[in-house]
Amino acid sequence: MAELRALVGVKRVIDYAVKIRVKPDKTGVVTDGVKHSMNPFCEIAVEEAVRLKEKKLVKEVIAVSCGPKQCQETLRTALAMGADRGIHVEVPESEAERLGPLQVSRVLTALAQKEKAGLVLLGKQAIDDDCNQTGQMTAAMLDWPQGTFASKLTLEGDKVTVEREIDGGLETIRLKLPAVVTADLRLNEPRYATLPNIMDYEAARALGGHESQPPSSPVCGPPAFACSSLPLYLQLVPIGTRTCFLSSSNHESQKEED
Amino acid sequence: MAGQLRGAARILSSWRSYCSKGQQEKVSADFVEALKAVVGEPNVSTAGVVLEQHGHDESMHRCSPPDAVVWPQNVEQVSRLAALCYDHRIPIIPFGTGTGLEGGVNAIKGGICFNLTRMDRILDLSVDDFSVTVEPGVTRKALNSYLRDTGLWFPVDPGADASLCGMAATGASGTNAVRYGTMLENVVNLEVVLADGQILHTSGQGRRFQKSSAGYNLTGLFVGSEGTLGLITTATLRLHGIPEATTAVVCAFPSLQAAVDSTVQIIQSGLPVARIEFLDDVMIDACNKYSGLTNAVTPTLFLEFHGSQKLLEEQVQRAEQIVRQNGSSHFAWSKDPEERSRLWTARHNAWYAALALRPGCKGYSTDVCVPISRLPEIMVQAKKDLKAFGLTGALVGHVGDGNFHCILVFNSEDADEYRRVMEFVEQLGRNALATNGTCTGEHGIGLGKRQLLKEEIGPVGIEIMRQIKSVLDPKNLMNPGKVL
Repeated sequence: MAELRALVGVKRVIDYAVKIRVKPDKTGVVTDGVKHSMNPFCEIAVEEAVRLKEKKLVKEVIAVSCGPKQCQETLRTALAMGADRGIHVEVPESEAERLGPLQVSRVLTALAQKEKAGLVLLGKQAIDDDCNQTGQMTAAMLDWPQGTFASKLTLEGDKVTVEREIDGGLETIRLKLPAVVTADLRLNEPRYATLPNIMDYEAARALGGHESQPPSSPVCGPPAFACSSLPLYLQLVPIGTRTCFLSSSNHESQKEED
Repeated sequence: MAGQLRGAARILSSWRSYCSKGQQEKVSADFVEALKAVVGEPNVSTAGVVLEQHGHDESMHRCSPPDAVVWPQNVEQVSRLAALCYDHRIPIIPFGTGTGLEGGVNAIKGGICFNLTRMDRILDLSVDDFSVTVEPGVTRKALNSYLRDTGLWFPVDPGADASLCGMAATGASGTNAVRYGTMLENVVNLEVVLADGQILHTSGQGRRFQKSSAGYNLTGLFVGSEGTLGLITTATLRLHGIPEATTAVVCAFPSLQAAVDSTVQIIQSGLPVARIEFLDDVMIDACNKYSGLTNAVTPTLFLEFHGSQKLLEEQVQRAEQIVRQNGSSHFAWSKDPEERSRLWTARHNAWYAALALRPGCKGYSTDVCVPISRLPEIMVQAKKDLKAFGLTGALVGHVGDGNFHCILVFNSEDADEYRRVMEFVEQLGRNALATNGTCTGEHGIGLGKRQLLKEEIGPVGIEIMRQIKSVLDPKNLMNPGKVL
């Protein structure tokens, strides 16, 4: 459907090639100064969304990341891969440790409704916590069908056929949109971000202004020189500690305790 | 097993390559203790299996284990170990990933093998300056994975997942060289530990420029020196932008001549092709069987173009014109990354695919590089010679550089076949020299081509090389028996 919007969740995790070290006080792993990048399964989800856009089956790809300031790097990669917009749901560093699938699902649910997304694409799990829960919880909260561990995805009209990798082999299911799909390893081979795309993003950011904008005035603007035009819209929505609901009427965040 | 080794040793030594079992008792227990004092006990080994693993690479040269293996963790340790070996006159052999193809790591005079892979940091990445510095433990795939969200990559791709410093030491090249150059063009600076422990920065410490006219080109001297002049402990590399789009093209030809002629014409027409690989019918057949492909069994060219979408369309069109003029029957192209990956994996696995043609046999890859205009004749001659000598061999190569490999698969226990292989290889090397080419395009001289090097460079050149070697390594401890 040419009107379909895809919401893609991307998580910033320790890079898969890094040797993980436990902190001396054994309260966690060392993250300071360690290379972070986009969760590999999220890369596959972004790639799939961008391919759907290239096939003109999806109108807009919106990348979302929840976490501290550094998540913007991950969003930058998603934009350079071909996503149209990036939404950073900012969580202060002190609270970020307590951010888990339940909280993220609530954010994605709210955003999916606000952005009127018809397809939510996520990685099947993150390589740091291996929870494998966010996609499923989001689908439950939205009351949408889910196709998890997707190794093949075909959009046809208002239905999506998903081939899933399950314990016993492959299972093919057909879901009616809107739906949640989580990506498995063999869904595709993600593209690398290319310099022209990264440069476009940096240029737009330089033109458009700074990062911390109040939610009511989005940072936006297409780049002035025409290499390729990716209108970039980075919207920062600072939220409270646990849950947040974004009211669609006035773009302002409301804090709500559990 | 021992009988075969002795038999092979006799044959090999009769062919001018000097092999000896590492001299036992050369390295005393005290010396090993001294090594342990520098790097720590867990980082020194004299265990038989470990020595054997470090005594050979992926070539068919007989394993020559060192007397001990050490794993230094930083350049200071490398320097102290080298100084120790220098004082005691013990050979030093640098070791990276052991993926070489010319016996470069074989410790034919014993000595200490310096396995440098514990030093595996990526330093000083500058995205703006397109430059990064790596230690020997960083392989090219690890670096490209690290760089993936910067928009940059390091394009030199010799097939194996080799250590980048090792690639600098052998002057490696690969499928992308026709557009991006070899290690020689892409190494900007090296940190080298010399035989006596001195630490040299070939372009000056920390420097990373795009070009320079300052003094003698020491970086160029060490690139391709195969561990005979010093141990490379960091390399500063030139990075390139990841191409916006890539198209892979496969075209089949009725004859080897047609395929190679097309290559020459594509290069001469100025098309900025990124990869242009030739596989002959034997190789295609092997790849089909090994990787489950269904290519037509006939000489084939694999091409790859990098650029923006528009540029690619134009390039593919022009390439198609040229190959059709040369009788190409089948022209297929793909932008799809999975498909392209599949095609190139098949090409990279050419070595294993060829070996699988005759299971249980060994492989030997020749590696000559000639001026492009002479390529058709030498390849056609190679094909004829294979038949004349009665050998199993497949031709594969980076024909865009005038470089091709003949992968020979032979039964190492059959002395007669072995002799014919060696004769063929020597013949091919001499043919290449006769066309003003070189006896090794990318694998290096190592153990087996020292005689050909003499013929290629000439007596004055060889003498100059010897003099340089004796200045930097007066005791001949750095990887003895290789190159010169």
